[in-house]
Amino acid sequence: MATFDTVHESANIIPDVRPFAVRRFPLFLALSLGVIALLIVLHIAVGTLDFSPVQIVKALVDQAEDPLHRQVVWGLRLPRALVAIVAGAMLGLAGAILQTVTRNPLAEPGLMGVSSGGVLAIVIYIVFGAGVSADSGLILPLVGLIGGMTAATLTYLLSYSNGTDPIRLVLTGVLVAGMCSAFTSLLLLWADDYQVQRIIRWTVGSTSGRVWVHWETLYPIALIAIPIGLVSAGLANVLQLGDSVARGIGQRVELARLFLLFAASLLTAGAVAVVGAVGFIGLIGPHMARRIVGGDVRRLFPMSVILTAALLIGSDILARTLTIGWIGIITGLDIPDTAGLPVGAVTALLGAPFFLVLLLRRKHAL
Amino acid sequence: MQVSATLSPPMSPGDRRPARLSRVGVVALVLLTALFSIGVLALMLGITAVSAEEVLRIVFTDGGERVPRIVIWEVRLPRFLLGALAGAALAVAGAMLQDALNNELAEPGLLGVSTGASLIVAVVVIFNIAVPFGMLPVLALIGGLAVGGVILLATRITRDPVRMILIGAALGALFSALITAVIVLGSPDEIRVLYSYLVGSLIGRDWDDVRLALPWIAAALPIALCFGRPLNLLQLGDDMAEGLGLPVFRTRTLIFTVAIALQAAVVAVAGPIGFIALLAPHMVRGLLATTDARQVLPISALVGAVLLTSADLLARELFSPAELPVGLITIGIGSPIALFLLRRLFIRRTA
Amino acid sequence: MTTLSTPALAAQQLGVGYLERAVIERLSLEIAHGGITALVGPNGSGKSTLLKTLARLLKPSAGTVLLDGKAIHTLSTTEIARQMAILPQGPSAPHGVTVRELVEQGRYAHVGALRMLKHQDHEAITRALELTDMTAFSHRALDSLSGGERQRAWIALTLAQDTPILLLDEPTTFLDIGHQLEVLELVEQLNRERGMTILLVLHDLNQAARYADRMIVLNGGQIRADGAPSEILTPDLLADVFGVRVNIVTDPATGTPVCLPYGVAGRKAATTEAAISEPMAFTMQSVSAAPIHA
Repeated sequence: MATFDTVHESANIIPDVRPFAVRRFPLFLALSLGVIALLIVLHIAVGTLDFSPVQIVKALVDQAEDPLHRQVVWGLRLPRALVAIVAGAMLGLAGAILQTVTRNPLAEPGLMGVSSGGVLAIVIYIVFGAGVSADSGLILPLVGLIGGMTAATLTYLLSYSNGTDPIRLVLTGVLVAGMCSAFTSLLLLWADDYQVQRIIRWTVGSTSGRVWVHWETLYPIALIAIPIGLVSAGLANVLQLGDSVARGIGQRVELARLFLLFAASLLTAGAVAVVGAVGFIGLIGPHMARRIVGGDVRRLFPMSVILTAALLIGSDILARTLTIGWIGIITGLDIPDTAGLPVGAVTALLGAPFFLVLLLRRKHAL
Repeated sequence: MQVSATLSPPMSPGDRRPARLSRVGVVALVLLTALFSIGVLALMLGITAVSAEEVLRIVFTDGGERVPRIVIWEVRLPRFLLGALAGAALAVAGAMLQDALNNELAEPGLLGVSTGASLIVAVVVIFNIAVPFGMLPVLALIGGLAVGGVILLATRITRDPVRMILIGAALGALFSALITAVIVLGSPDEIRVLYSYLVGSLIGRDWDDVRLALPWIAAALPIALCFGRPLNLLQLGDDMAEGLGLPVFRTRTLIFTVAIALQAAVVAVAGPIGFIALLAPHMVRGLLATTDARQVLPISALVGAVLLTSADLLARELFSPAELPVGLITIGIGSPIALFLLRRLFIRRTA
Repeated sequence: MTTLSTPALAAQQLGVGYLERAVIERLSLEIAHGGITALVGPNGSGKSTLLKTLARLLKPSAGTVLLDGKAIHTLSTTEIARQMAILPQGPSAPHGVTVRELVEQGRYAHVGALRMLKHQDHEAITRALELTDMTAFSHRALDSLSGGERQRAWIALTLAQDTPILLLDEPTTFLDIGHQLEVLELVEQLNRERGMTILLVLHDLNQAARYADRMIVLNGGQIRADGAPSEILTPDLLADVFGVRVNIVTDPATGTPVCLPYGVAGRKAATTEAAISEPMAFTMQSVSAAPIHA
C-alpha cells in the first residue's frame, strides 16, 4: 500500500489532488485506530457504575487503585467492548466484500441468507436442543456458524447456473432469508417465555452480557476470516471491473467470486453467531468508507473494517446510555421505563434514514 | 380485447381471440367450482367433522344440529370467507404491481410494501395502542404507502426490474429490522403472537375480521379491475406508454395506491401472507396464454382465492389439531416457484 | 389558430440536463409540417435527449417546447398523444403479445382507459397494419418475428395513434442493413403518401443524407449545422464534429451526398501539438478509473 501511494508523490509534476485520507492512507488508518481506542475507553466508561477515564486506563494497564474497578473493567466491560469491535470489523469487511462482488451498493452481510440462517440454527438449538443455559457456552456460536454457512451454501447453489450472476445471487439470498425467518417464527410458537426472550436477542442482535467466553469463540474466527478477507482485496479489485473484463485480464472469475463469498459468509456467520443479526451496520460502514477513501478495495477493505468497528461500538455506547422509558412517559404508551434498546435496534434506527438518503440520492450508484 | 374481437371484422385465419374469450369463461367456471368445493371441504373438516350434506343444509337453510351449526357459522365460515377475500385481494394487488412496474417479480412482500404495513401493526400491538375498530387497515395502508412512495420515487432512478426488486428487498430488510427493534420491547406472549402474525395467519379469525377487511376489498377490487388498459400500456415501457398518451407517473401512483390498499386490508387482518400475489397472476397468464391485464385481473382474483383457501385448509389439517400459520405454507410453496421465476427472468434478461 | 406557417414542433431556448450535467443548453429549433428531419451527431451529443424532450418524455430545465404553436407542458398527455407519436429506442413488449394486440394499444389516446374500441379505431388499426405490411402477421406473437418485422410492428403501433407527427429514436439500431432500409423506406413512404411530419434520430450519416430532407447536426448539446444534406455535409463539418477525415461524393443512383471516411482527424479540442498524445493516455486512465469509483 505504501508503494502504491509513493509512486504518485514522486511524480511531482502532477499535483496530487486526492483527499488527505487517500494520499496519506497509512497515517489515516493509524489515526482511525486511535479513534477506536478512545471509543473503547468511552464504552467502558458508560454504564451504571461511573468511572473516570483515568481510572479506566489505570485498570486496563493493571494499576487500578480499587480492585472493584479492575473486576468490572476486565470482567464485564472490556470483553463486551472487544466483542463489539471485532464483530463490527467482521460485518464491515463482509459488507465491503459483498458490495464489491455483487457491484451493488445496497448489499449487506445478511444478504446471502447468512444472518437468518445463523439465527434459525440458534433458535432450533434453543428450542429443541438441551435446555441448558447455553448462552454462555461455546455451542451456540458454533451452531450459529454452521447455520449461517449452510444458508450461504444453499444460496450459492440455488443461484448457480453456468456461474453466478451477482444480482441473481442477491435475490436468491432474499428468498432463502425469507424462508429461514418464516421457520424462525414458526419455532417461536413452541418456545416458552424464557426461550422467547433469549431468541429475540439473537434475532435483533445484542452485545449485552457478552463476556470472555464469547470473546474466545469470536477471536479465532476473526483471526482466520479477517486476514482472508483483506488479502482477497486484489481479487475483488479485478472482479469489480465486471466479469468479461476480469476474465480478459486473466482472472478465474467464478473461483475468485466463490472465494470472496466464502470469506464474506465466514465473517458474517462468525459475527452473527456471537452478537446475533445486527442489521445495517455492514451496509453503512463500507459505504462511508467508500466516501472517504474511494473505491480501490485495497484501501476500502481496511477502512471498512475500522469504520464499521467504530460504528458498532458507537451504537453500543448509545444502546447503553439511551433508555427509552421517556417515550412512554411522554406518549402514555406501554413502555417499561427501564427499557433499553439492544444494539441491533439502535443500528436499525440509525441505519434507516441513512439508507433512504442513499437510496434516493445516489442515482448513478444504482 | 375480447370486446374488440366481437366488433372487428373477421381478420386473417388464425384469429385466436374468440377462442380466448371462451377460454376465459371456461377457466372462470372451473375456478368457481373449485372454490366452492374447497369451501365445502373447509366447512366439513376439523375436530367436529361435518358431512357435506349437513354443511349444505346448515349454510343454505335454518336446519342442522346446534353444535355443528355454531362451529360452521362462527368459526369455519368466516375464516373461509376471509381467506377467499384476502386471496383475491392479494392476487389482484400482485397483478397490478407486476404490470405497473413492468416487473415479473413485483410482489408486495418482495417490494417491502407488506413489511411497511406490518411495522405499523407491530407498533400497535406492542405499545397497546387503542385503535378504534376499522382504523387498523387505514394505519396499515399508511405504512404500506410509505414504502410504496419510496418505490415510486425509485422508478425515476432505475427501470431495471431486477434493481427494483433489490431496492424493495433492501426496504423490506430495513422495515424488518425496525419491526424487530419494536418487538424486543414486547412481552413473550406478544412476541409469539406477533411472530405468528408476521408470517401471515388466518388462525382464529372471525366475523369481526371479515367486517374489517370487506369494505376495503369490496371498494378497491372493482376500481382495480378498471385499470386493465392502462396496465396494458405500462407493459410496453414508460416512454412508450407516455407517448401513447398515458400520464405514466400519475397513473402508476394511482395503481400503487389501489394495490397497496388491497394489500393493507389483508395485512391488517391476516398479516403479510407471502407469494399469493406473486404466483396467482403468473398462473393466470399461463392458463389464459395472454398478458392482457383486462383478463388477467379478474381471473387472478379467483385463482388467488382458490390458492389461499386451499393453503389455509392445508395449514389447518396438516398437523391437526395443531394449526400452522398459512403464511408458512405459502412461503414453503412459493419460494421455490419464485426461484424458478427468477431463473426465467435472468434467462430473458441475457437473451 | 394553426396555420401552415406555424411549425409542427419547435423548441425555444431549450435546456436539458441529467442531475447537474447539462446535456443541452439554449437550443432553439423549428420543425415545419410535412418533412423528414434527421438528427445526427456523435455519441453523447444530446440527440436522443433532444428527441425525448421534444416528445415531453424528459422535462426541460429551461425553455419550452411548442407543439403546433402551443406550449407542450400546458397540454394533457392525451392531447399530445393525438398530435405526436414517439417510438423510443429498444422498446420491449410483454411475452406472447400478438402484433394486433400491440397495435391496438396505440388507440389509448383516443379511447381512454375504459371505453371500447369503435369502428374508426379498428379502421386506424387495420390501416396501420396495412401501411407497415404487417396484416399477415396480425395474430403472430411479437417475439416470434424477425427484428425487422418487430420494428415494423412497433411503427404500426405508433401509426395506429393516427398522428400528424412521428418521432423515431434510432429506429434502425440492431437491424441488419436490409431491415434498416426497409424501415427507412417505410418512413419515406409515410412522409410522401400521408404527409406525416417525421423527426428521427439516426446513427448512419449516409442513410440520413439519403432519406431526410433536412439534417440537424448536434454536438455538445448545440446545433452545429442545419439544412439540406447536400448543403451541410462538408469535410470540414465532419472533421469538426465527428473528428474524421472524409471525402464526400454524390451517389449516382440517388443524387444524395455520401461520406467516405478515410482517417481520424484531431478533434477541435485537441488541435494543438501538445495535446495530440493526450487523448490516448486520457482514455486509458478513465477506463481503469471509472469502474472503481462507480
